[in-house]
Amino acid sequence: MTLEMYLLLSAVLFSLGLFAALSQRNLIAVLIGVELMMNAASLNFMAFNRFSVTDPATGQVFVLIIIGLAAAEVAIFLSIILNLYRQRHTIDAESITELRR
Amino acid sequence: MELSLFAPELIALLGGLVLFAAPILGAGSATTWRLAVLAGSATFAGAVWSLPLSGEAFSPGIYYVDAFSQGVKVVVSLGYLLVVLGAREPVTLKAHAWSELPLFVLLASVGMMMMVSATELLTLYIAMELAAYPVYIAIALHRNPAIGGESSTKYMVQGMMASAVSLYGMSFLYGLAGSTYFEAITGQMGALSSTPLFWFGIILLLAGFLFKLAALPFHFWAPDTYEVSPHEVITFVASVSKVAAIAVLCRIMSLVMPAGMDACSVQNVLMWFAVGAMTLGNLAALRQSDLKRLLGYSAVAHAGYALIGVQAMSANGLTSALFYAVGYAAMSLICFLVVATVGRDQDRVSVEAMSGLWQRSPSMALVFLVGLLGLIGLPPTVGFIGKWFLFSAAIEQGQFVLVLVAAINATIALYYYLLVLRQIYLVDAPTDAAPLRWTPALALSAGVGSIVVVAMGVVPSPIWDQAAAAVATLLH
Repeated sequence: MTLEMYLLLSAVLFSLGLFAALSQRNLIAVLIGVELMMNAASLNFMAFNRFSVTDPATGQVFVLIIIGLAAAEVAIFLSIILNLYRQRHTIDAESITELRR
Repeated sequence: MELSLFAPELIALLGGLVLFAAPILGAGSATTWRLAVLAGSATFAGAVWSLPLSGEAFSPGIYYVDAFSQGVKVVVSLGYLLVVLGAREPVTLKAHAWSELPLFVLLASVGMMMMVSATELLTLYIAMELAAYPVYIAIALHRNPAIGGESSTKYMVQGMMASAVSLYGMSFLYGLAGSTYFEAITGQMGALSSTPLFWFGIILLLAGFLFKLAALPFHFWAPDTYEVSPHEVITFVASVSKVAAIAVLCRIMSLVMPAGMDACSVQNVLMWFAVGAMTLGNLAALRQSDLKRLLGYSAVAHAGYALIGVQAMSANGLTSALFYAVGYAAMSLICFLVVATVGRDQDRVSVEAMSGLWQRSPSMALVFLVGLLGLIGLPPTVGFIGKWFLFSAAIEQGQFVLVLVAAINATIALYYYLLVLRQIYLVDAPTDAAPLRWTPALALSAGVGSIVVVAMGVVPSPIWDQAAAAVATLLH
């Protein structure tokens, strides 16, 4: 596989993630969409790291840290969703509309 | 590695440890609050002390300490101190969270302080996330879990998306420059600037900071989150984080400015974001009856004004954006301090709640008047002189139409701000309304904020010179 193939794949992943994050009603699905976007970025880092960059460590370290931060993010988001679910008994974004005018 | 260069952040982190341990060791919220004020004062003192320092705190190229970063750190730490002074009894928060709020706000401040020093993509990304996560949690601490959960979810979904977009942009910068260091990127600007993908990466990178600024196209969270977030949290979000966001935008702009005409695509995009944010913010604010929501849309509009300076892509432009951001933080801070006091035990604060504020507390009405005059942009406040600087920076670049649009926007904005002023001064207070009292800490915080707003408007030169020197170090 060439660099272009990887970049194309990550662009597709990113677009799918963005679409999911914008269109899904279930907050868990939204979270998965955002994770896909971050994974697309990770894939980019790894692909560039493999094909075009001389220093092999930087991209891999970056990706490891992305994974760590994404885990922290998921923990926070899930705890907020869980709290919301206890109140509303739903995690459907459409039906959580206390604020909408 | 020189630790003294890292002093303000280090003091703040130690303060964070203390604030983390205090409630566990059984300290009440009053004690924790005093510790938070102490930590804020120490951080502020550390930042002022480190103002003349310059150098690199860690291995070369990662973390710059210079006039620019330290100046912004002084503002951020002062902002933290003032916000915490006003948060003695954050009634809109869950009672058990009173002693947790200062910790989260302090950690977010540390993130912002690191953000302005970061000169490497990974450092910038970590700092950006450190500035964001604690705020997500702090918003969720609302005493009504349903409201807190909803506004926090809305804020966090958009924040996560913005940071993922930033990250995707970073991956292209890394791939094209072969390095995550800003120095390396500037060094190869000649080759990079002819690559469209590079500019695509830069524009994506801006996303995370446009989100913090509540500028187009990441402004959707602003009205909802402003409306129902705990007052003290939103005071912080509305003031301190704007300065940090503008500072990072200035840093990124200074990175691409050597490319000259090639940077036009970024400049164009930012210009349209500025126009869109101003227009949308002001038009949407016209029909709001909720004061915090109105201030949320006004924040979108002000993000647009500040972007005028950023997109001018000149030393004057960046300086005026930085100057305006500091001024805006002060105006926004004092407005929210008063709003938080008036709507102390309410989740939402309507414009009507401000009725007859001058009868209930003349000094509080005066502080709010100063803040609103600043937001409108009337002399003798920083709102006027700051807009003047922004507009003249844009005119230097020959952008007359942009300035005209901004001026029309400022006129539209006059309408809704005056409606609020009318409530305060011309409508009588309800008969059962109790007079409002300042607590000493709140009075100190609002006093310092008002003095900054007026002093920067009357004698802008000290802060302007400081900002100009900061931007000069940024541009070498």
